[in-house]
Amino acid sequence: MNYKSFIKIIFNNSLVKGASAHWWSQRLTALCLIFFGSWFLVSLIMFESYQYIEMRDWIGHPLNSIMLIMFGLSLTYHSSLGLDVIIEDYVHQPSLRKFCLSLNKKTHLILTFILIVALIVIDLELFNG
Amino acid sequence: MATRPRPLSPHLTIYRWPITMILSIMHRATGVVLSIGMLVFIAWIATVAFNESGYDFLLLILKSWLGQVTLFLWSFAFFLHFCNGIRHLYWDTGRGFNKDKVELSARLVLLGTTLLTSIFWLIK
Repeated sequence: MNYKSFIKIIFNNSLVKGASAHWWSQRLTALCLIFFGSWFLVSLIMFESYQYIEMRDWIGHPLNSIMLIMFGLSLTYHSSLGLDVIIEDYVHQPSLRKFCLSLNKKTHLILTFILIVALIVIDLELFNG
Repeated sequence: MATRPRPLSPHLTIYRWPITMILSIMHRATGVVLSIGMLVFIAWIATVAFNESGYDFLLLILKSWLGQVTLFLWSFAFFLHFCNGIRHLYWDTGRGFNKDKVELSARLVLLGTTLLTSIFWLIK
């Protein structure tokens, strides 16, 4: 394959485009998770009692809420991409594979939605006293 | 003439597992384990938001010995995926691919995982 036709495939083939987008998304979320994941584990160490009130006040602190939403979004996205690869590797039957991939995506979207709503609820409750 | 099955090339079970292969499998396995752990993370925030008694119940489970063992394994999975993930990002720059370097980085990942998991539980 000559150089020009290789470039052509990279830019025109939707399958290759999807693959490089997947690759980049996985790496970018990985970089985010190095940062936000470390922050989360350090936070876990610093908790005193893990009791409800402590957790609510900590999660509801604006800075922590922002960090948690960033951590949560990169986490669900990275997890969804990773499980996609595993499904593609082990589920061979085309219609079942399609079903599993869409189930995986939907589950992660629902989880992300729950996470965002929960964080908003905690913040609003604290804001209203 | 009896038909004999076609000869197969040697399978995984034939070889002694090289450290690089173990880590490759572990990266995928810990990824799945951490995806399950993500459910607990979301349950943790969701119960704080919607259901105080649900949170107390979650805390009770996580503080039981079975919960603590599970949390320990999750922390191990986290640090292994974390260290090996950094190794993958290093590889993505096109470096570290010869046999010696690949084995050295594998050992570093195992060392790092052990150290980080120990430190985490010692100061927690």
